Amino acid sequence: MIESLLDFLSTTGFPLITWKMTIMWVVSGVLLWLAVARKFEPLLLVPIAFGALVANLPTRGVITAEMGADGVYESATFTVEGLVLPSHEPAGTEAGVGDVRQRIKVERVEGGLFDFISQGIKLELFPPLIFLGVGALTDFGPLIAMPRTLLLGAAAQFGLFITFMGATFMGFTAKQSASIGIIGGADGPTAIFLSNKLAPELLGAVAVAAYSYMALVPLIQPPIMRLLTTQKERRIRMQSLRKVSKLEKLLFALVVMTICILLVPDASALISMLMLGNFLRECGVTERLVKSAQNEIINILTIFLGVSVGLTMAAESFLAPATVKIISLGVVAFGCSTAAGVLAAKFMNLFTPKNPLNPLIGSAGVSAVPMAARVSHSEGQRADPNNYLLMHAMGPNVAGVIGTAVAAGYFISTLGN
Amino acid sequence: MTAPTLPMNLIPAPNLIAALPEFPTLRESLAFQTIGLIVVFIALCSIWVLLEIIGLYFRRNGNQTAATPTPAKAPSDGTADPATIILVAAAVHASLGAGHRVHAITPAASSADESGKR
Repeated sequence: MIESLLDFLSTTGFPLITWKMTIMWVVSGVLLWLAVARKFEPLLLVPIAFGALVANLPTRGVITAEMGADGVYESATFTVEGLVLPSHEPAGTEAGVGDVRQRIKVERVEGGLFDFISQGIKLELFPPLIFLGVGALTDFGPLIAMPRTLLLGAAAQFGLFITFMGATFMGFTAKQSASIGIIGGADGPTAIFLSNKLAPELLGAVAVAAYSYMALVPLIQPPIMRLLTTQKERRIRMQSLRKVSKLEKLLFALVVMTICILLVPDASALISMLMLGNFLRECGVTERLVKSAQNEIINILTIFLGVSVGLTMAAESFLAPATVKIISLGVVAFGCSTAAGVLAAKFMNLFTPKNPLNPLIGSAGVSAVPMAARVSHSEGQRADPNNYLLMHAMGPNVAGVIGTAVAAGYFISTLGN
Repeated sequence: MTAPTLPMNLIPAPNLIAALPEFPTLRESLAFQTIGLIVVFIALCSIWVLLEIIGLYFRRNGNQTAATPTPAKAPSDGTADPATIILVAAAVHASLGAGHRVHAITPAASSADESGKR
């Protein structure tokens, strides 16, 4: 009887627990605490933390796909059982040397639940689909009313490239450096999309750093903003935004999509879905689709995306010196992007003294919609309680989303081949 | 089936793709960053210019609409403006005397439909 009990115990997960796993339990606990108690990006950190916990438990039948030595997920590791049927492939089809083709009637596919869910990241489906929801939720009106704020969104990408250089100096490869640099874009789906394409082995660390710093925007940005601006500059009141017509908003979606895809075709998945979501929102005749994109689609995908990212945080890959470096470089990326946005606004004011920008809105160019815009607004109100910068800051904020997607497209087109 | 590959002369910036090694030097890294920033600025500046052009058209169109004089709308909810009330009250006082007061002023029906409804 004791032997049988011992046999049973050997089939449980207890013997498979490692000390690295226990550390990851603590990491998952900290992430859950940040999300639940401190409300740091809870919609994403909760699924990520849960996924990380699952990845560091001796699960069976849940996760089967492994990451190869080259950092690429082997998504074709499913065991397929079936009957081999005679081939009806037409003669003359191209086949390589030794290529044996056979038709199989699939009867059983073995793959864990999360294995299938995380195909959404591996096949690069979730980030663009989340962008569909983001587009459906975003009002580009403030940007259309004041299009010069697009430059602030572009300037804020400076931090992204600076961090790229810093990462290469710290020993990361060019592809890994690009994945780390994109943290400065403060755009979670774009960071995941790029990391999965260029450096999937860093996906977990990059995603956690990106979302954590996005949650910390109200703590990271204000000191930099105050350091780079004078009290007088912070009190600048900006002209009211004009009203933007529906047709202008529709044209905007088409123009942005066309230009971005023509210039960086590798960003087309992100940009096209973002603009599709926005077009649906603004056209006014697809209310049901907009509601789905704004609610059901983005919510379901957020759960799957978060869990899938968490599942990449297995102790063996996450508990590495590289993770600490990535998290430190993430702060640099964020700080540089914030500073570049503020300085760009000050620079632009040299050319438009009669209609100046409040430099505080420059920091909103780092995306992190709408948190960064709220920070600009609250900092403006600290200097002048009657100054309302929120809508003005939304311009560079959404420009930052476009800028980050373009930068990601540039990285993929140059490094992804 | 294998994906079709583009000939080298059709790949955007083939030199750049080939130029950046796995571990780039400072110079290579700087060149890479500069080109990246230029690409981002070109994309967003192009959108800016096009939005300004589109905005100019819409602003001009909007101003023209605003400049066109539109006739004042007649009150249709049964209420009258203060000037009308004063005029009617004065006329009643002059013709009927101080013993009469105006309780309500109802605009006359302006169309056959409205007349029919009443």
